[in-house]
Amino acid sequence: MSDYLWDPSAEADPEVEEFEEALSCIRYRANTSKLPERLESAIGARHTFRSSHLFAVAASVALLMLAFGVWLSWNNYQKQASLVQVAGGNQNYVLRDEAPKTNAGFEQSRDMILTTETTSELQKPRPKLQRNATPRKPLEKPDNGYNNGGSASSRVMVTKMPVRNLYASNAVNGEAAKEQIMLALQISSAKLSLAQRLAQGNAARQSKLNP
Amino acid sequence: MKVKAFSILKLFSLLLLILIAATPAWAQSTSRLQLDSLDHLTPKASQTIVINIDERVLKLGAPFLKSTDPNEVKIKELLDGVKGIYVKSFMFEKEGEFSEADVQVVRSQLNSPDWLKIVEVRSQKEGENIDVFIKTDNTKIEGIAVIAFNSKELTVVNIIGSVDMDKLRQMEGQFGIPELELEGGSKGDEPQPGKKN
Repeated sequence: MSDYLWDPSAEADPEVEEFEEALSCIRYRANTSKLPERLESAIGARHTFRSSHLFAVAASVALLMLAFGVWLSWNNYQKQASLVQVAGGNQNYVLRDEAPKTNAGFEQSRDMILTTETTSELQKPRPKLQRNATPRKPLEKPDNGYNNGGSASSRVMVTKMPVRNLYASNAVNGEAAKEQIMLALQISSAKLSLAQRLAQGNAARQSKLNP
Repeated sequence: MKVKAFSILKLFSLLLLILIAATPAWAQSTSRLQLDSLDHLTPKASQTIVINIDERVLKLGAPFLKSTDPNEVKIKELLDGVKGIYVKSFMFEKEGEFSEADVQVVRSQLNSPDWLKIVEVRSQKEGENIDVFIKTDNTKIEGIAVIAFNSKELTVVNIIGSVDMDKLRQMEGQFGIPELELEGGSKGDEPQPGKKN
């Protein structure tokens, strides 16, 4: 064996050279070879893909926040519109009556809180539902366009409640909301009951006719 | 080409997210009837009742239902799952102040397959006409709509959310809620003949 094995500057040994040649494919290379172009472009694309997804998520979040904001403001607007049938004024509720002669019983309005009544109820003593109503006071003149063009005997329940006051979490507003809920349930249940009674009445009649 | 594909993907994901976010609001809105078309009846009516209770008002009022009062506890239970109650009721001095078209505007909103008419009462004798619709999600009620009218009265009730109809019906005259003396018969009795509106 020559010194070529340990000293490359020495005279070359053909046997060692042959080994070198054979093992050259696994020789250490300081510069790693470049990846094939196809592979490189794919990695680049993946990078772009990732960043585009980040952008999409960020844009989606921004859009959702925007949509939520719009929805919230719309919702508030709807609530205000729904709770204040006719805006303005400082009264909570005004029972308006434009037929003082024919409706002597309604000479005085009731300063109710978010409650409405049927005609028949108004002519009767106050039911339990109205126990929170404040004492009567003189009828207010109508000052909105709810009844424009209506008949002389029109009587409309008009909500006049400042929105801020309504949504302030105090006992008055809570009670008012409760009363309104009770009245809504009352009407709903009355109609359902009536439907049932009429349906049952019809069924009973049918069975009498066709025993 | 790839850039275009990514743009489409981005757009699709955005649309999907928006769709997901908007679905609950849409579902709720489809249960709610648009009753604004009836507002023109207000000047003609001798009495108008408009009640709009949304989720926020329900939350505002629910804590004031006393848990010590068993009746109010029942109301509280009933309201659990209710997201809104909307009522419009018009009572007229004279007959013919509203037309079938007014009713039809509301009824047409209930023509979708989501709504199912469960009760239809046409009483020639008492002159009462009542339609009860429900919107279901296969397992539970998502909305109730009641259209009741006679010659002098038109009432539309729209409840959004799940509600026990039997319990609601049984509430009349109970729980401190005074019984409405509706024309067409008092509770427990058959409608009296000749008591036409």
